[in-house]
Amino acid sequence: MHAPPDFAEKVSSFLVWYYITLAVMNGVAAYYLWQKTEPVTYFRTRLGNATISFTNALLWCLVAVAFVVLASMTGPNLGTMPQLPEWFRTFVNESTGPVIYTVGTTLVLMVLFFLRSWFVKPAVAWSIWNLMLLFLGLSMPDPDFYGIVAKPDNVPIMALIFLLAFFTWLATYRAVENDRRKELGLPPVEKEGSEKILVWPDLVYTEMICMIALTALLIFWAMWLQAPLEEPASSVKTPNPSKAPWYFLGLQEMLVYYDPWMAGVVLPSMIIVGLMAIPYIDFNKSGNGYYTIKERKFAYITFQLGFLELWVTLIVLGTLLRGPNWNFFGPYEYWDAHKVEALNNINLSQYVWEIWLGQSLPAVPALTWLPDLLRPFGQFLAILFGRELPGTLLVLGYFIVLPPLMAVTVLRGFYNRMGFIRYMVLAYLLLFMASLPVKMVLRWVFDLKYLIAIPEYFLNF
Amino acid sequence: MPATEKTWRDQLKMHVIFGITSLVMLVSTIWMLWKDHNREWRKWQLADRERAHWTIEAQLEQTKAESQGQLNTLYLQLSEVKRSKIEDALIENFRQIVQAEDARLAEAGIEEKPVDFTDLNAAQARLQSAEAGSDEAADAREAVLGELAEITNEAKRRELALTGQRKFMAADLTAAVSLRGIAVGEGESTETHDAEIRKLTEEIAEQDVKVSNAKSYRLALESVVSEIQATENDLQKRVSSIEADIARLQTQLDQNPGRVLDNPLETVVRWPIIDAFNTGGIKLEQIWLQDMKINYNFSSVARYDRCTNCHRAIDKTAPGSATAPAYPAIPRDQRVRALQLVPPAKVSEVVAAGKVDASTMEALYGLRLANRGQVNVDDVTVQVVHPESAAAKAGLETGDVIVAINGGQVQSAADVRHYLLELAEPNIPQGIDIRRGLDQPFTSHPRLDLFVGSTSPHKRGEMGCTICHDGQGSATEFKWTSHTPNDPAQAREWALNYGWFDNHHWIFPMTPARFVESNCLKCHHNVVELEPSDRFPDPPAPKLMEGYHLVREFGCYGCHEITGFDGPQKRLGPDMRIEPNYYDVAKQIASDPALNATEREWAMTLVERPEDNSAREQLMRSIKQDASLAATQAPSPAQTTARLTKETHQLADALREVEVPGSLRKVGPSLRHIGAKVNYDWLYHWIRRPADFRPTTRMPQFFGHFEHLSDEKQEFPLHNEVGEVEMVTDLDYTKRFEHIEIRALTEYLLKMSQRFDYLKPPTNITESASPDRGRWLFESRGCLACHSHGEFPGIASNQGPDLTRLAPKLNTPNGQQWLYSWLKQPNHYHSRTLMPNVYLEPILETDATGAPTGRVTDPAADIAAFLLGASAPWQPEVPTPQQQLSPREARDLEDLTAVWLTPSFQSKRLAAEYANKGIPERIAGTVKVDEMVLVGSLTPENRVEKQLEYVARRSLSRYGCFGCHDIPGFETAKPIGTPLANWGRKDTSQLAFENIGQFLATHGINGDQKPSAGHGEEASHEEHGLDPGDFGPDTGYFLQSLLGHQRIGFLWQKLRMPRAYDYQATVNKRYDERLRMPKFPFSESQREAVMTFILGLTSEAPDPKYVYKPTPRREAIVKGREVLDKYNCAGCHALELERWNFAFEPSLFGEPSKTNDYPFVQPVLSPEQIAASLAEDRRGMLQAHLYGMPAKNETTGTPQIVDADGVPIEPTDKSSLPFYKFTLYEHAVVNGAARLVGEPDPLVPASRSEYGPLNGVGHVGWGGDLAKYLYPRVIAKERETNPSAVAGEAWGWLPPPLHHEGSKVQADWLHDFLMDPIALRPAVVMRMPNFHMSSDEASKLVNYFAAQSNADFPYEYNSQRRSGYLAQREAAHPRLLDDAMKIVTNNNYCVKCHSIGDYEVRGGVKAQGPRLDLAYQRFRPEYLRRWIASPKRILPYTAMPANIPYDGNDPQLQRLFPGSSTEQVNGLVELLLNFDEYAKRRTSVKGLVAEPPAAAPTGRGTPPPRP
Repeated sequence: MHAPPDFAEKVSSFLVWYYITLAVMNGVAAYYLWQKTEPVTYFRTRLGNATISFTNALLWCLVAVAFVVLASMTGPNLGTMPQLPEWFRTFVNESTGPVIYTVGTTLVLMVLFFLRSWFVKPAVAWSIWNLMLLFLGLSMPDPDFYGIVAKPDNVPIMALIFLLAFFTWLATYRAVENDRRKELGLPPVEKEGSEKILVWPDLVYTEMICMIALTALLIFWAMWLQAPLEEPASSVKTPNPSKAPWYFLGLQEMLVYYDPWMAGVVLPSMIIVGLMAIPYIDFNKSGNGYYTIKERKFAYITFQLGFLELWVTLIVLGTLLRGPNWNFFGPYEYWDAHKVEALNNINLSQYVWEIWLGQSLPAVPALTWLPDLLRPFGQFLAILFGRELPGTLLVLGYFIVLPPLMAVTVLRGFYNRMGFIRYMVLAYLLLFMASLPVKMVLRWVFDLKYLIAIPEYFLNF
Repeated sequence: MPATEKTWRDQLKMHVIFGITSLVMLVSTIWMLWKDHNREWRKWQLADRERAHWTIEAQLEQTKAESQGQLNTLYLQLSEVKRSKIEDALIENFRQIVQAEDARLAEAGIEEKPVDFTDLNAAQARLQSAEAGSDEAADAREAVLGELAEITNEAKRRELALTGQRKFMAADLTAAVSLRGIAVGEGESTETHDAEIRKLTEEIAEQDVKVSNAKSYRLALESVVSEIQATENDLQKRVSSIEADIARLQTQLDQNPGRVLDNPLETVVRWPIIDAFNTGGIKLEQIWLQDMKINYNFSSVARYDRCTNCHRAIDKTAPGSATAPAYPAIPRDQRVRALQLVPPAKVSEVVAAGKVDASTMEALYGLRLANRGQVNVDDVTVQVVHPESAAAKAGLETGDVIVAINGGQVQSAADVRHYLLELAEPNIPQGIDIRRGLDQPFTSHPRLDLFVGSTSPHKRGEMGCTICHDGQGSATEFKWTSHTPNDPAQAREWALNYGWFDNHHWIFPMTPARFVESNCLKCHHNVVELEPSDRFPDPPAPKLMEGYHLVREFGCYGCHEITGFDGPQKRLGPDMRIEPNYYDVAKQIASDPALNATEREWAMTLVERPEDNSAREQLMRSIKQDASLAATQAPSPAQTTARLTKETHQLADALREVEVPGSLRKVGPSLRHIGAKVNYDWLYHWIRRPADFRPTTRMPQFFGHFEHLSDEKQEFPLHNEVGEVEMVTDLDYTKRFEHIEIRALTEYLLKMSQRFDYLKPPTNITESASPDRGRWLFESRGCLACHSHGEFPGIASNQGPDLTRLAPKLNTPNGQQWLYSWLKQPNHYHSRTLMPNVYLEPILETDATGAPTGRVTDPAADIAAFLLGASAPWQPEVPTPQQQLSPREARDLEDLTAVWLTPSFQSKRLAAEYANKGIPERIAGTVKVDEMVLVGSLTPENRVEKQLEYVARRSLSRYGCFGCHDIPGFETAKPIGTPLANWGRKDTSQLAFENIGQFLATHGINGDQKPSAGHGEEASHEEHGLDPGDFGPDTGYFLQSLLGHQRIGFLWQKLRMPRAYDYQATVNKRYDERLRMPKFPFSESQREAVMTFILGLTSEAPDPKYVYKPTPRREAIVKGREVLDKYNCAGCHALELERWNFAFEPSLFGEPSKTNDYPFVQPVLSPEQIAASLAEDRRGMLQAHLYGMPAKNETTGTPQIVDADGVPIEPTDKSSLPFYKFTLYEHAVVNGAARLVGEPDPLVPASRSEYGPLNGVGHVGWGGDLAKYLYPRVIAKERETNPSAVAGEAWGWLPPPLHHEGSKVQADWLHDFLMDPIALRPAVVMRMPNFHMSSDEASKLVNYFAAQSNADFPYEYNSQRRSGYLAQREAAHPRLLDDAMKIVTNNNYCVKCHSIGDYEVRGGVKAQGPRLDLAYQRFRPEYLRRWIASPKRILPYTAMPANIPYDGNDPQLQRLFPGSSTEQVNGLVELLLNFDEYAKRRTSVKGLVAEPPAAAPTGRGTPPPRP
């Protein structure tokens, strides 16, 4: 991408204030630690006669100074602006892809989950928070990166990432704290202050203040980043990439792996039905009114998997990393519409018939003896249990064999406590949810297009 | 209620937070209002309002300054008049009128008190006694006038009283009439009513007399009074007019607020919301164009153009002009100019007196500075320039910013005074640098005559802005309007100053200034209407026109179809398509030997005249009939088999009627008989690189474009001599294949060439060919009108090829014969050639006396000898290859054949096999036409030949050679290029930019650098290493566009290096898939012109009401213009002469000479014309508009510069004031008087620096280059035999100017003349050639000339030839024709120079005029009359005298033709116009017919018996 002539000015005028804000943020944190809490001293050193304690307040103070230095280095010259080294950006661009992204996210979430008691420590969390912001700042001078994240449409997504990180941290922090207290036999934190409070002023007044503040924020936002006006719609020239509204980008990502009827109709319906069913499925009474992870591990993991992994990260992927032709682009990569990715995917039936058995696909029987009205139906069944038999068997196996199998193995306790119907609902919801990652893995590993492919009837699975 | 007062959060803190957030909310709301209120357009409008205020103030002050002196004089005169005496005679006259009236009244017995003159007498006495000019006189005068007014008023009162009485009577009469009507209705008697009515009617009649008497009395009195006050009233009127002007400007100024700050109240009312009550002229405007839709893909939406919100002065004209812009948009680099200001002599003494202030400046220099700048407050700006002051003479104008004086920077008015008063010395010019003109958006449109202005054809409210400029018309902010910078520097400046960015979401970005003419094509589909015209002598769209002509000349449409139609009716844009290929098809059909005689005749008719519909249809029907025989599988005995070949049958379809046929011919010559013209050696080099042989050729270069090819990596397989595959580099691969292609093409073209019958020289030639004679013939017979030749450096034309170097091409036995045939009759070789037949008939030489010498020369042979002899040498760049292929070349040929076969057989292996062995017969039915060549087994004997033929056929198809040339076998081939009809809107996603950025980065911007090793591949997309800012504005602009993947950049590069888009792409393309566009030899500016045209092809025609619809007259001009361009008529003839508009001192031109002309040849001047010619501008100069051309030097042919006495100035003479002698070709009005054509040439002050008038502009004419070139040469030639030849008459020996042709000749005659020109003027050195144009084209030309001269067309009615006219005239003048004939045949008159009937003039041809016996067919009557009466009033150079001077009472003439001179002229006209009638009367046929024998009377109706 060719940076517009005023790019350096534009990005530096933003970044200077950005770094100053970060400096102030750390300064305030340092001041807070210095004034309000017991200092934590990491080490001491002697400087002449004085002993200098290297405390947490001093650390954040130094970080604040570092940001001031960054701000001062940020002038309207792309060459001297602090930024990520070229090799790093190239490395990131070349090493990332949907697989790395998805698997990486999963791994990160797993690490965060297992080491949560370490990550939720304020100092650690604050460091990560700072690093995230620093990373963003250092990436900005890259015109391609800037072009994507600074697009007015995408700013909410950037905010979403940081807000999500913060709130996930907050919830986990409190859950970890409660779990710790539980082990010590203490009641959860929420229990401690469980006094009755007043609707007015404690609730309504607070709400009103928030309302005013948010309205003001929205006005500022609207003035700062104006609604983008794009080109007139044309049936002969669609925008490339064509993107759904940001909150549907997760669904759009599913379209890569599933036929539209599945990704656009069945799975979204299952999400809604599943969310509605949660109160009836959830039999675990603990965790009411307070944060906990240990007491609700299954619910927690399922939620994190479904929300963070399968919804939010796919939105981020769809917004920031999917470019023209819905190709994956690294964060510092130019969105070149001429990039072509080979999509040589093969249906399961082709695998079985053509590759393994070395014969052509079974033909669709004419079924001339059936009445006209029934013939399509008959043919459909013939395909389903003829040509597509392997896929049909696999899918049927997935949905018919797995629930009872799980009931007697990993989910035995659930089955016992939930009864048949509630268990089966849970099992199917889980299986549907898992079908997306399963399909993704099959695609990555086997280049599998569809398990059941019946294009004659617009039905693929 | 809470149980306790304790709350969860600290309430005080909550209140503080609430307070803060509320404040933030307030701030956000106010900010929002502020932001909305202060939108960008307001800023510009306020600035413009200030500017307008400044301008009006300056105008007001300027007007005051200009009129002050005049006003003072007028006041003085007025007061003088008011103090002057009144002539007693006038008062006496008044008195007499009164007394007469009194007497009349008394006589009529009307009682009226007689008027008392006592007071009047007293006042008159006072006035008489008072001294003229004294106050007393003023008093008395007023008293006299008062008395007179009183008496007049009394008369008026009486008149009114009488009128009142009449009104009552009339009412009574109406009532009486109505009562009578009622009585009639009720059947009562009407007697009493009738009596009443009679009575009243009589009374009214009496009353009318009284009223009329009273009225004439009053009018008589008033006329005397106004006579007394005449001078006074006149002065008062002039004063009022000036005062009204000033008052008007003052009112404007009062109504036009300046800065907001100047008006304390406005600072308040400008606030948001309140400003709704008082806009102060600041409001959002828009031009709503309901029918001028903009296409938003799913619907077409009315256009809203809001551009004028900022560009407020866009339609403002300069005061007193309808079209001159008020604020000219002067290009930045021309803004600053240097003037010379001469300080007056008084300067030193005034300064010595210590008067160094603003008023001194004004008094001395006539210069007043404004107290602030027009737009930038700090600019030192001129406000007032007094007329005829030093400042005015220096050329300073209101609004000029003084930048520097004598090199010293000027920061303030004090600096100006310092330089001009304190430092300046009397009479020594001071250099003043001024900056003139404003920046956008304060400027006016530069062409208000064409656009936006109220008298222009594109009025602001009707057209808006974005239809021409594109851009986002609805936007009101700089960055959202999609302004487009013209170069990278401007882009950067805009981005920094106005936040400009390239908004790719708006699909119609503004057209950059350099291409703004493109959009003319949306509505001007015929294009040529955009040429300069009478109404718009300044070219409306010069760049676009250049582009259009280039596209025509280079034949872009041969490959790229430019269709202007969507269906036969709907027009979308310019239409440039090749004419239906009937000619080629007919030629090919004619080569079928089985054609029967009738068919052959039809075919030959079509070859000659492809527009012949009946021959075409009959031929098609006949061939189709034959084809249907072939289609019948088993011919029955009754049927015969088909005669004609399959190919001929296939061609029949190409003879179908085309609904809307194209009209352009292929630009290249026919290659159908090329073997009869050139040989292998030459053709090889020509195909390889045409510019090698002829550097100026328009033929593009197809081969040898290697700049994008790699010569490093060996990636392409070829077979070597022993048949092994070896890998070669892309460069080698391409070079070897191209070499084969060129050879194949050369051989194929020669091989398929059809037989040509050369013309044989006539047998009566006695002289052998002479290059010397040929040289003069070549020069004088018109060849140079279309061709250039190195021997004749003074003239260059590119209608035909440059003929400097012909011998290497044609100096072969075939070539010589061909050249002779071609010169003699070009259409014999190719009937669609534009080269005319110039009638190179054998010349019978004569001696000086005109007697034949018996020698006969052949001009065609002479010219051929000259062309082949006077040829520049030529050494081809590469040696001509042996016709026998080397083993390696044979291998390459086979490889290339295999490559070509690959797409057909999908397999490289099969292709290679077929290339080597031939395509098996069994699959012959499935292969394409070209591949039929290879069907059957190939043997070592025929292999190379067949492969070459196959490759040649494929190459011809691939490169589309048939787009320009007629090639046998390719008659029906379709154009190969991308259609261009809407290329200007082509979606950029459809353009393959490929690796062009990388290419330019590694090979340099011109593709001529070697890529630095290792750089090419690694450089990532971001680092293409090209910064448009590093290049000049043009290259930088295009580069930016190219790297930004925009259309314009793509086109630019495509025209520069058409194959460069294949950089790094050839690896994955088969040889036949590569880019194939050739490179045209365009210069930078030509390329930009072509782009201007192509970018204008948008297929976006707006609503038909906006599309240009010429008037029939204008349309005739437009259509004719196309034909004129096509045949290059302007090469010989001047079609438009020069128009010079200039300003001059009133004293420059003296009185025009007195002439004694017939009334009907004198110009009729309107009072407006005279007034306009007498209007002085601020400098005190007058304007003149002349039409004609400056007299030329008779030895050099260049415009002659003379001194004030008309004596030629030597080039070394730098002191004399230069003038041109300007020969008028149309009457002009100069200094209030008519200057006539044919009078001595007026002297026009010449510009020293460049050609044209001083203080003005000379619009160049159109055409006549050859005539101008030959002018000195024919004089020299003539003087060889006749040393006394008059130079001025030499114009008559050359192609005549045609600016009056339409009013001169009859349409019919001109049409026939154009189709088949006859030799007309014996004196002319060349004949009008025969272009073999179609009747349609000839008609277009006829209409063009008629329309151009405002004459009737397409037919004109000639009343002087209608039956009965002569009889009528002869009734008045018996023997009219005979008498007129006496004049004609008198030796002193017509027959001295003109032949008529069987009488031939003897003597040199230079003294001969056209024959008179055909004049009746040729001339329009009025023209002929004016011509005979006064030839020099029409053509200033003519040698024809005015034989019958106006009112001359020549007795000899009376003897010939009794009557006045006008009658004599008319008589001559009638004779010439009815010469056929005259001849008929003198011819008797009766005697030739044998008297039939007296027949016996037979019954009625029975035919007479046959002998």
